[in-house]
Amino acid sequence: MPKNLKLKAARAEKDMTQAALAAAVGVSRQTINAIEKGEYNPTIRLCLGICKALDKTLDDLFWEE
Amino acid sequence: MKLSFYQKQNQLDEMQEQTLRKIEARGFWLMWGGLAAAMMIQQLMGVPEEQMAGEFLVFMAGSAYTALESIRNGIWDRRFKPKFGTNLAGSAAAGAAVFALTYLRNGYWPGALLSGGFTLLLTLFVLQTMMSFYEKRHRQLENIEEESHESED
Repeated sequence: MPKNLKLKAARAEKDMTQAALAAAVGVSRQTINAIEKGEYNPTIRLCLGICKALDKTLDDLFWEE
Repeated sequence: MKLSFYQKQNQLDEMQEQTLRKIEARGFWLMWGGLAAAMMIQQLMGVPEEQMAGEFLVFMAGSAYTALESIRNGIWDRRFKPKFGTNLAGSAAAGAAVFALTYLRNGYWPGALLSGGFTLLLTLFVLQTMMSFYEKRHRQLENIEEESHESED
């Protein structure tokens, strides 16, 4: 699975740390880290939570060209 | 009395939950293989069967639960397809293992051959029966009617 750089960029745009995003969506920091590194494939429920926290759409963060 | 070290709510997030399940699955197979190996070694050492009753009971309960729940959920195996040939190969392996074990323990090959042959037939029968239950259940689960949402529109 490739790295999710879009998620990392969106998080930086919002000036949020991995820990802050993790707290906002109710998961551990290691989970956010694993998603960004492409080591974990999140459920649609968590994807939606992350999108809401970062004001992005699923396409913006999780669509692969 | 409220227990401060126990929380009813799951404290793990989805990734940690998945990781824990993988660890538990590996632990299960480690114990399964360990119990099977322990029973075989005890057989070879001539330990009386009554002394192995506990291990045997735990081993069979775990195996039966796993097999029955898999079939109930329409699951056969990750890699092996449910076919007579596969079942025959599996039964032959079980028969060969019992033949080797019995021969090593008793040193009497006709008896070992009989035990191995009987194991092969019994395992094949069990696998074929389970396969027919699996196929029936799988068909049932694959043909569930879709929910109608007409009332919501």
